[in-house]
Amino acid sequence: MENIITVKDVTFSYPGEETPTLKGVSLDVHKGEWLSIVGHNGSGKSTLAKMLNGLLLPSEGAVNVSQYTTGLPDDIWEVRRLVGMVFQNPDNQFVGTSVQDDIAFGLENFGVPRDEMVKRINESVARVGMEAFLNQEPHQLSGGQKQRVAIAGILAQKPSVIVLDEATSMLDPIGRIEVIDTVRELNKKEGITVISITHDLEEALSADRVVVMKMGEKAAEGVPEDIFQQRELLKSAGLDLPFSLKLSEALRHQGVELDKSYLTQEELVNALWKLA
Amino acid sequence: MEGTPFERRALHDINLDIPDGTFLALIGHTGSGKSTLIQHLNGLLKPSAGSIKMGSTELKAGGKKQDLKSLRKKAGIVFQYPEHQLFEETVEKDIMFGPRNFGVSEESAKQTAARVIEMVGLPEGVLTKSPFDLSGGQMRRVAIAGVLAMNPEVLILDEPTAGLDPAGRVEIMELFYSLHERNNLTTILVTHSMEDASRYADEIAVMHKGELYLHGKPTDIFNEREALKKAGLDVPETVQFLQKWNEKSGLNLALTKFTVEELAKQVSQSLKKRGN
Ligand SMILES: Nc1ncnc2c1ncn2[C@@H]1O[C@H](COP(=O)(O)OP(=O)(O)OP(=O)(O)O)[C@@H](O)[C@H]1O
Ligand SMILES: Nc1ncnc2c1ncn2[C@@H]1O[C@H](COP(=O)(O)OP(=O)(O)O)[C@@H](O)[C@H]1O
Ligand SMILES: [Mg+2]
Ligand SMILES: [Mg+2]
Repeated sequence: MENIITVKDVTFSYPGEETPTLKGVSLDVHKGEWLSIVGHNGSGKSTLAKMLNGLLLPSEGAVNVSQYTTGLPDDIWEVRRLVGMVFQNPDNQFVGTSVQDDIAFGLENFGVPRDEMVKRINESVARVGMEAFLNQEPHQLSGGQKQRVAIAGILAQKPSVIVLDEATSMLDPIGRIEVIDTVRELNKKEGITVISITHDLEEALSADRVVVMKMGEKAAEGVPEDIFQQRELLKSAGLDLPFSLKLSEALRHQGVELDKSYLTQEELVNALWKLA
Repeated sequence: MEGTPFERRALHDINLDIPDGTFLALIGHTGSGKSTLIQHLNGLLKPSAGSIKMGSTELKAGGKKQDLKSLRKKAGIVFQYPEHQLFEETVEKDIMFGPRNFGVSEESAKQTAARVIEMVGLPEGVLTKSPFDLSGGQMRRVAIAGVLAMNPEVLILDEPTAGLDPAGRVEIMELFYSLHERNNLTTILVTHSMEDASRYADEIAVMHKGELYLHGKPTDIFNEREALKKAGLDVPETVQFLQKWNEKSGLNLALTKFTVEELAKQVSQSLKKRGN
């Protein structure tokens, strides 16, 4: 499997902090995969995310993106072109006075020609269903609308890797699914690698792989089927059981003889039907 | 924006009575006007027409500047973006600001800060940090602590658990609920979590395109799946699952409580009946 990002033995301390925020974190991100990062508040997820496009640099260890290294000044623009970030609070990310300008500004930075720019803006805004807001001021949008615009801005840059740091946390459930489906389509059809930091366990369940962060360390890594069976791990990392697993347990508690815990509602309904 | 070509009407003809001691959940898709409505409740925004009454204070369209101070002491708001309400150099000073402003002594405000920081699940060491050096979820917890320090009679919460880890989400909602019950608060919760709305609210108000679209008890609202879908919303996971089970089994079960335990009970009973 080809790796697009490798994080090797990374330790990081914020200036003035006694204990490191990241402690010896190593991680391979496979090209084209959907990787979810979960963990308790303050576990180091956003810090790790900022390492991936060189917004923060390791105190020890190294982060490589494709053949580039984030710590090398000559490489940093290539790293930023390859890895697009959507932040936890999109407010900090807006610079333009309209949605259109804002996205254009990002593209100018990467030297995209004018005609191409217009095309990309229209495409990406349509992808997240925000066509009607092209001339609106970003700061006047509702929280969820801002998140859609921030995502459109990154899509327009056509990066190889998209890092979503809780990028759908302000969306209503249906809006959340729409945006995730949009990104998933890019992931599947265009092979864009997706790293999604999320507290939404249902979203993490549909990832190819999951990384669990805990107090600055990588506590576990694996496919969702394995990770979400580990009750103790989940509990100690500030997580919870996803809905269908919780219901499977509650059903067993009621004396229903399920052979195992199921990850999706469909699987669980089918398993119950066989018992009927 | 009033009177300019950019004026957008965010709210239209809302009539809503919230009796003392009610736990009201306000739901609606992104941009439906929830945050705008909430900002009217403590005078941050003034209505273009109509009026808002809280206790004995009335805010009228075109009325003169009211004494907002007593209103703001009464109603504590946790804003959608916590970083908008944090501003002091340290977390401790930030939490102390409200009580100090209303005449509480330094000593007593300090004690309050230590007490509320523990309530929101943060270590005491956080008190000396800058609020801007915290993770997203930690900032959210500090913003909540700042509001709790004011002992409000009315709690207004705009997506207060967005950004919290799954375990923290449950803890903080339980905290709000126990305060609501114990101190007889009136609570208004804006949320995208249909689970939280169904579990904690006495009443649910659904916003759609700036209007009050539905209003009723959780059992009424969540029996209107089609109407909710029109407003871009869906029913809680427990109801979704029960519908799947009803389709499969040809039964017509309905929930009165929306917890996983209640769902498990109903499903297991239906299995036992078939078994006989
Ligand atoms: N600029 C900063 N200066 C000092 N400490 C910081 C800074 N930013 C974050 N931290 C600390 O580093 C730790 C990790 O923060 P980080 O933002 O990476 O957490 P996170 O896993 O993304 O949490 P959340 O789920 O709340 O977003 C936290 O303890 C936080 O307080
Ligand atoms: N400061 C503002 N100026 C103009 N329009 C705004 C402003 N803030 C929000 N809006 C618009 O008002 C509508 C309702 O927004 P909001 O109340 O934030 O929605 P919600 O909280 O339900 O997601 C949206 O269409 C949004 O774009
Ligand atoms: Mg974070
Ligand atoms: Mg809002």
